[in-house]
Amino acid sequence: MANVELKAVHKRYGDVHVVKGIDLHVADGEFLVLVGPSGCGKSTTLRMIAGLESVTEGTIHMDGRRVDTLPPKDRDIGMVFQSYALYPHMTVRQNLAFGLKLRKTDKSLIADRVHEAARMLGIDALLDRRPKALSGGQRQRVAMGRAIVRRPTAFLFDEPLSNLDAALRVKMRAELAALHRRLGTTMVYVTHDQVEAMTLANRIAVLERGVLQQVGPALELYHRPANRFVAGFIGSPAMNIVDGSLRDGKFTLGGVTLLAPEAWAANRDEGSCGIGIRPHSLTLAEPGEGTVDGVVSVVEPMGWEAMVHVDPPAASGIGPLVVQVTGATSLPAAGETVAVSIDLKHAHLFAASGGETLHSPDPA
Amino acid sequence: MTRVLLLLALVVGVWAPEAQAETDGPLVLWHSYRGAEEAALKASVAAFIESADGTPVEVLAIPNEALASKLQSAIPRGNGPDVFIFAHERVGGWSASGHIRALNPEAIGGEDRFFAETLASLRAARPASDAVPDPAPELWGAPLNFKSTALFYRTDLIETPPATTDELLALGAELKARDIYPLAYMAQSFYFHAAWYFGYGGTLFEPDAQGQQGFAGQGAIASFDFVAELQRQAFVPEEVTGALVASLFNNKKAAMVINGPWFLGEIADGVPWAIAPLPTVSATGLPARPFLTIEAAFISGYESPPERVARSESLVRWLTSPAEAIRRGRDGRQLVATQDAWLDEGLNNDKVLAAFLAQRATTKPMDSRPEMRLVWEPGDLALRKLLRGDTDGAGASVAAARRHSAISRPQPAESSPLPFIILAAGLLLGLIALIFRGIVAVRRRGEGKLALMGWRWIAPAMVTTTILVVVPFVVGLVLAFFAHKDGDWTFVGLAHFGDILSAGDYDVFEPLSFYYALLITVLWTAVNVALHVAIGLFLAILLNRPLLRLKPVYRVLLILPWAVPNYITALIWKGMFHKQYGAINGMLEGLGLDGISWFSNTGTAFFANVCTNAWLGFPFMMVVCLGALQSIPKDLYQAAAVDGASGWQRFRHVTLPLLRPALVPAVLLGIVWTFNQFNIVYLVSAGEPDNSTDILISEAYRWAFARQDQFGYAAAYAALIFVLLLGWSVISVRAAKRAEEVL
Ligand SMILES: Nc1ncnc2c1ncn2[C@@H]1O[C@H](COP(=O)(O)OP(=O)(O)O)[C@@H](O)[C@H]1O
Ligand SMILES: [Mg+2]
Repeated sequence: MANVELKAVHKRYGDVHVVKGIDLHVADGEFLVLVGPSGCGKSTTLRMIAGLESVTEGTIHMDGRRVDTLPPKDRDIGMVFQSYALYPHMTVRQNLAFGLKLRKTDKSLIADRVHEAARMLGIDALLDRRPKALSGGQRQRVAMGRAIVRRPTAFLFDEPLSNLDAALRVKMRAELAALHRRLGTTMVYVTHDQVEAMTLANRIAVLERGVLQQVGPALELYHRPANRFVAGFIGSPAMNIVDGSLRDGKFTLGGVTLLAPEAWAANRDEGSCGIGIRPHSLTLAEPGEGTVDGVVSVVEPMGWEAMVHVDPPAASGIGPLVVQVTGATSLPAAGETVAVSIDLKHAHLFAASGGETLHSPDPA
Repeated sequence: MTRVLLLLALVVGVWAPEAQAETDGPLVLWHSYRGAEEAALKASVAAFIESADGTPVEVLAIPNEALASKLQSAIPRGNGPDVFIFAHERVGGWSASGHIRALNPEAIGGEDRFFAETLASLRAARPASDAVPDPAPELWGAPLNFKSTALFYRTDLIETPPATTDELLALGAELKARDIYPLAYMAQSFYFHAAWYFGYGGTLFEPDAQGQQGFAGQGAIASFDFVAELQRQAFVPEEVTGALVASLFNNKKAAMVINGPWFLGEIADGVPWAIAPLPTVSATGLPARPFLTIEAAFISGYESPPERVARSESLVRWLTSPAEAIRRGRDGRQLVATQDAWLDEGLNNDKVLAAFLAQRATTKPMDSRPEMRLVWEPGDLALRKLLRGDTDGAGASVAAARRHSAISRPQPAESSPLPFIILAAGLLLGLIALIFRGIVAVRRRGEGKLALMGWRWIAPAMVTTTILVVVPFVVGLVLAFFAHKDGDWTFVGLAHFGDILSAGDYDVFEPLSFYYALLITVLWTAVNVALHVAIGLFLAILLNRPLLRLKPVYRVLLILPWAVPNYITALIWKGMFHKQYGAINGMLEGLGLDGISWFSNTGTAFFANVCTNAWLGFPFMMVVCLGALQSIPKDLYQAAAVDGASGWQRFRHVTLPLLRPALVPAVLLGIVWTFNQFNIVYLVSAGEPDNSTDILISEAYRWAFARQDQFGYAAAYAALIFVLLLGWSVISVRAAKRAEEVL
């Protein structure tokens, strides 16, 4: 078990600056999820921790020991790849035992560890098969097993669930969480899926374009996003974000002017800015009776709740809005005109430049 | 359907015998001349057409290499030319087999028209019969031109050419002191050696003064000793090739050259030179007697109406007439056999022609009996042994005689084909029954229509494969049961196989034994394929490094050896291994080491072959490995790195096992290719020394084409090679399947 500490870590590929100075501390036994859109540098960061990529600038320490100058085999980490990267010419047993064999571990100890890991992951019946005779989920477990048998001080996961179907992904997610509880080992987990991030993480680190946006527990990121990017990225369905301007305590968006709430007093003359409202904080109304009118483009009923996508007229300058309707018995049909009511009490306020959060509503 | 019929007609047409030549229709003349010689011949024929009878004549030029086999296949079918021009060497065989017609000397202008020496090789007795036990030799061709070697010399190095061999040796010592080779000629070739051989009193087919015959005679031994002496004193260069002779002479590094009229074209402008007859052998007082070869006009032996034969004769008479001979001499610069032509000023004043004419008087007309073709290999073998310093004249004579007896295998007794016909018929019936059973099974399953459709799809491929592969294969296989002699085939059953597998007169572990050749072949294959894989894999790994600069350039450069035709590469490597002038010995000498006589020793000659073939073969393995390496997912290496594998362990546990599925089939294929890699062995070491580096396929080639057309014996060799490779492919297909199953 180990804590992992990244200090001002940069990565450049020639002229391309991919990771731009990351400072991150992963506590011993913590499950940290690194999340961000595709191409933001998550894998690169993870691979620098693993030693598969060199660090251009900065340092990485594990348990106070500097590791960024060491080859992967001396870092004592286990890693699970998105493609699983199982050795196709070896049986499951050989795949699991490979790392221990290289370390010249005693044969009987290897057998014990392999069986233990296989039992833990429910793959004891598959030990003599080759990877090509396994299903996606089974391969996934073997890949995890391979990391587990060596009992490394930290686990690194690079989008391990993204090649699985939706149902299996949910199941494996739960198993992963259970595994972490059971092993208690430090885990750094990379995903582009914020649902995975929220459900698994002790803490989430949001990365965008090589820059760390915010690090914190899931709910903190949800309720108090540090900036417009984190607000839009965390939470499903995604937050509605609308641009407008704030003058003299009045917020104008698309020709409609609303009175800003008391809490925004400090920013009453902010000028251009953005607001963010989660879909469940918006409500539908009869045409003309809400804040802005629009045509329903898509309705996604999900039983207890439904997502209604509304397109305000182009002239209003307001983009499509998503309204989460709960418990409603009658839903509008696509093509129908409705009004959307916006209550600024529930809105986050973002600065125009940089997008940092000026105000977040109290979670109620 | 019509198309199928058309195709059938075409197939049948290939085999159908052609109609007999008709009475009228133009005469057909085949030849293989080119350049000025061809132009002179054409002018001659045009003049013939214009002359009195105006008979039309078609002239067809056929490449020299193809002429003999074309004649041999066309004439027995009553097809082919009326008249053809060819060397005298086949007169013995063709007169016996009826390919050519005995000439009435009067009809071609009378024997006196020609130099007597030029007629000698064109005479042969008709085969003896009960009625006429010992027939007088008849004339089978009309001599057109003659050729022999003579002595070329540089007039800036030699004032008067040596008249005797003693003078030659004395002159040699003088020249050698000035660092000039006195004499350059292909001493390792019996054709060139013949002048000394007969000058020392050696004989081939007649008993000599001591009653000895062939290579065993005293004259033969003395001539071998003479060459050994030339070599010992370094009067002749080593490992001589035609190109080396020309280059030494042109560069003033050699004073004299023994060569034929074809050497004229190779002498550079500005070199002062002259020609003289070869010197007299001091020990015997006899002149050195080079072989005299004749180009003659022949009339095809097939049935033809008498008027047509008469017209052919008049064409031959025309061609050998003094006037036309003068034309060939003047325009084509040929050495014509018609005596009166030399009265012409133009011919007589031509110093070159005159010198060869003078040499003619002391030539040895080359025998035209088929057995002559068994002389070259033993003769060359003896000379090479000698020039390597492996033996003396007596030893060379023994080696030649031994080889001569080994390759002039007595024809096996004729055997009855009946058991074989029954066996073949049985096999055929079995095959038909199998096919029939298959058809019945398919119909029972109600898939008849579907199967028919399938057959229609593969029919074009099947027909082509049958014509191009199956038929030649079956013919080749059947040939193995026959013995061939001068166009006649005798059924001998399994005799060839018996001879080959019992290793004949030779020890099992001596060259020429099937088992020795097999051992060399297996060794050859194993060493080569191992090198191909090792070098190919090594380079592929280098090329596969992601950060390598100029990768495409290296890739192209490394594939280059593969792109160059392999015989060119082989000849280049052969040149590099030349003892005196090769780049490799040059490098060794540069390092202060002694040069190696690469082809004098089985090990080093084998090494030279292997170097050449390794160079040729690694690109294929490299491409295969590169492709396979690139298909190994990168994250497997990363997973292995995280698992704790070092660079070597990653190679050992990831790269190698994952290359296997691609490498195993490539290796199996490479084995088959290398097993039959004829070109390299034939061109680089040429089997040297003493056929000890020959592999099975080159040995088979020699039996077919260098040892008096023992096609049946060679076919038996080929059949055995086929059986070996068939066995191998059964094993290898299984191995390949197992390798693929891994992934
Ligand atoms: N070897 C490389 N050379 C150049 N650019 C690279 C290399 N590897 C990754 N990148 C770039 O770095 C960025 C981050 O990649 P990555 O860390 O894989 O993103 P992700 O967050 O989706 O895992 C991407 O824009 C990618 O194109
Ligand atoms: Mg990634």
